[in-house]
Amino acid sequence: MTTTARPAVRSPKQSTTQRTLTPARSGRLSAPRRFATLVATEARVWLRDISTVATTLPFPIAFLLGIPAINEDMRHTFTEGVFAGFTGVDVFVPAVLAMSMTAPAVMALPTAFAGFRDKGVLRRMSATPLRPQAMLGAHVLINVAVTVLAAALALVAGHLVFGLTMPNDLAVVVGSYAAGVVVMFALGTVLAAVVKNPSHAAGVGMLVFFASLVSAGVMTPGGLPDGLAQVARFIPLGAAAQAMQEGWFGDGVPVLQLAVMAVWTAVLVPTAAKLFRWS
Amino acid sequence: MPTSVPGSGQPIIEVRNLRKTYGPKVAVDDVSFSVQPGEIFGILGTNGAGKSTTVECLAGLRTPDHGTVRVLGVDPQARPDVIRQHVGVQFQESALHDKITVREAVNLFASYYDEPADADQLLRLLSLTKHQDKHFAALSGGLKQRVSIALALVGRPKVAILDELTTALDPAARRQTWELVKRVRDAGVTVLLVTHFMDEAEYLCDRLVIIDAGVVVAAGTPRELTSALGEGTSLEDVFLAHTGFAYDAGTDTDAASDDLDDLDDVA
Repeated sequence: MTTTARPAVRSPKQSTTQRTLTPARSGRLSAPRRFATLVATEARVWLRDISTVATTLPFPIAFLLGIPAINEDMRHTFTEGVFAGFTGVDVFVPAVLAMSMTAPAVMALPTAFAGFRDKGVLRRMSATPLRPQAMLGAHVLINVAVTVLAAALALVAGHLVFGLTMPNDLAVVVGSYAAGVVVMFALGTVLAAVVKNPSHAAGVGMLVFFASLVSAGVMTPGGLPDGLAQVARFIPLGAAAQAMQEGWFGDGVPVLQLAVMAVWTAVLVPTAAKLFRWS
Repeated sequence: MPTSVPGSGQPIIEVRNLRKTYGPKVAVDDVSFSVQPGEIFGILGTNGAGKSTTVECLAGLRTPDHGTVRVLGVDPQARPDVIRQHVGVQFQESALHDKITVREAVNLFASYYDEPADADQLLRLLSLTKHQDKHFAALSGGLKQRVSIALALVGRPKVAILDELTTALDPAARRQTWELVKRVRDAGVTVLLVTHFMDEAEYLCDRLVIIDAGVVVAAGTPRELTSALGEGTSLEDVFLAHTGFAYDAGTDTDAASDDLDDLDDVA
């Protein structure tokens, strides 16, 4: 592609630079812009794996509709005691919410990260300006969005089918739920940061999941016996479940449980950042 | 090939007495070399010689146990932010999410850098334009390699580290890649080429080092090394001579088969 206007002698550098890389922009993107690109990309890729979507979204709704369908007694209203005025289904809701915030946090998130690590995706990123906190943050955000969406779907469906009763203190329930999501994902990021192997991640995640459910009283119908309940207050999911129950069926503000979750979060998040390994 | 003048100006990479061990295993024993700006510098060696560990130390991905490393004037351990912005790395095992598209990967990596390349231009340069919407896992080995190169260059780096660049490529693609590397160098990028292909090193490298068992056993331009060994020798002969395979075409067959037995000891 020569034109007559070109000089007779052309230095090699001139012609090759024309065919190599000119900058797309000068000046870095702002941190929020960069993070948004990361989250959008990771979310799009996440959605393409139908098996992860299929195993996270339907569970809360399946539990909330399925268990009372099997166990008809749950549909009766309590006439006396702590739960007076509420049905067994209402009492079950905090347990479902507790379960639904735990599985994505301690199983899906760490397993996904172990998979990235195993594949070398993280190592590839480690040679770039992308920081591990950004990658963790993006996946926490994606999983939190799915968690909340799944919980919302379950609540809407539960209400349509069984007619749920409003909690005594909605603000406390919402605040406790939010605190619970935060602390469980803080725990999940620690697991994602350190567990290297995908099968270890799955195994450890499952252990943590079940231990959390026990502490939340989900495994024992009627809740935990008093002694254990006292201990469970200091365990992340135990605190979250008790706080939600207090807001739903009680009349106070679960200050201790909320403080426990705050302290756990303040400890776990820096720990995850510090222990994070790319490979 | 432009001739290099050793010691002309500040080196862009300087490695002195680098040492890296993993427990009892010594990956890099004592490696020293320097790279001039704008040259294609080769790092040759057998598997396990310490090539990959050396470049990982340069890229700031590994902490040396001993020795000094300076890239673009800084210690990668002290200023990893500088290294990450200006050093592009093409890994041997390119790894991305299975279902990320080529375009998405390029855009994502581009977003990290202060002055990235234009994605369309980069894809065109690497003949990836018609593959840009394919998922990474669905690509052939050669295409994956080209994507990996694209990601190493998307930040418009000052230094590009290319590790086993043409392993999965057919001969035509290899030639194209070699020409691409030259164009990249001509645009002012210093290229560190880790390879075990002698023809590639001979064609592309201005200067090179041969690393064996964690130490530098030979250094210089391809021409210097071959003429030191003898008339009509190739870089392959130089490599074999320095890594313990002294096969002499004129000796008797017993000695030749002894040398072949030694092959079993090579990792």
